[in-house]
Amino acid sequence: MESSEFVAEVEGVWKVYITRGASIPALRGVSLRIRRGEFLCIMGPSGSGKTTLLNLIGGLDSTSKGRILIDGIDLTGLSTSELSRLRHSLMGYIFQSFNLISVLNAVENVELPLIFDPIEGEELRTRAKALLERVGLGHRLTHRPSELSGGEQQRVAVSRALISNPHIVLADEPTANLDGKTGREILELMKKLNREDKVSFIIATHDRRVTEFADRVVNLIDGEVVGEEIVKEGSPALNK
Amino acid sequence: MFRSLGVMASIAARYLRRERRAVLAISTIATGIALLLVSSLLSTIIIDQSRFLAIAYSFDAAQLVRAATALSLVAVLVGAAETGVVMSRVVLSRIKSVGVMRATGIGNSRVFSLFLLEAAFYGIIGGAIGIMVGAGIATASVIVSLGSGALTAVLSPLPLVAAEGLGLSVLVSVLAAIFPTAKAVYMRIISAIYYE
Repeated sequence: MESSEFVAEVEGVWKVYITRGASIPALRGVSLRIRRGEFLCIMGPSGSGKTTLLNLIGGLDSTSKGRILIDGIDLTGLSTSELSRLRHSLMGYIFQSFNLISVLNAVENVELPLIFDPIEGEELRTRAKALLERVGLGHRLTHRPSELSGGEQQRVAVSRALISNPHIVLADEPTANLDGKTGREILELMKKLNREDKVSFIIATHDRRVTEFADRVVNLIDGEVVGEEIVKEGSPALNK
Repeated sequence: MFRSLGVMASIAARYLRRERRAVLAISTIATGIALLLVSSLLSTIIIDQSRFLAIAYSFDAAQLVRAATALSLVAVLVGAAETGVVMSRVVLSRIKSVGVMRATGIGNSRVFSLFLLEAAFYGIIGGAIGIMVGAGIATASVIVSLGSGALTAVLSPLPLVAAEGLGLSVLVSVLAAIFPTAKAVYMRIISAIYYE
């Protein structure tokens, strides 16, 4: 499973939505390969299909045509529960609006993806606390989302995405609900975790600042990849 | 299995504490169970006391008890419907959370169980309140009308009737929650996450 150098492979993917008899293509034959440990930015205006692409890579939706492989596993044809297990063990998600569970405090929110796993409660708590400390929230463990600022909530969400030691973290407009300074801090944090844990990050955004942190930027317009640029020398995005 | 149940119970309990809508469902269930308990406990007395009426007017006292029980059951059903409405609103307000839980790989059946467990809590609390209120009303009315001597006979079936009442309230709450929960748990994950 670890042998492939690509953590995700998107091959000629189409996604067509059918609304009232009319078919609207959101993605038109997108192909993309994401290397292990890569920090990839999918850039495009709203309606370009970047969220759709992210959802398909994340196994949250199914393709109309083409296929997606995660760690060499073809998502096409997987059952709901197989997809659920795959998401559980290989992926983490970060959303624009944080999407934390309001009745759970910070540490419980981080634990959420693993609460039903056969892991000791104590061990899980230690892991969640360690993650929150890494993202600079060691002093906010028992605060509920309503008691945290937007930036702090997104830090909790980043920790939640990493609790299961995923291979890929998918982030949909993670900075859109944050002010400039806080958004930059979140990006710096994600970059740091990307480097330290060698986990791949795929970020869908229209925020130009993300490109400063990315190894590679893929431009998406009207459901098609219109170009890509490798930003950093020596990045995992470069062929070795 | 027990750990999962423990985790679900603790999350459901947290939601319950912060869910004001639950008061409506709980109080309606409690009313139904209280009425059911009063009619069950007093049935022996009603039959006994109306024996002379039965002789004089060829009147079947058991019919009166049946009517009272039917009325109580209607109250329980109204409680169930109310729980259904409350659960619909509760689930609707948490569709995003359902989507997030499912996105992180928590299985549909576990998310489903979480909501049903919360509904069962409504049933347990509503049922328990109903039993206490019903037993209280039955006791008071016996003491006032017949004196405390008749209490033993009236209260002897209490454990059984209370257990039935509690079982019924949990059952109707859970049944009422199934449909709205199924709707949220089986909708597309992305529709749930981006639900406004």
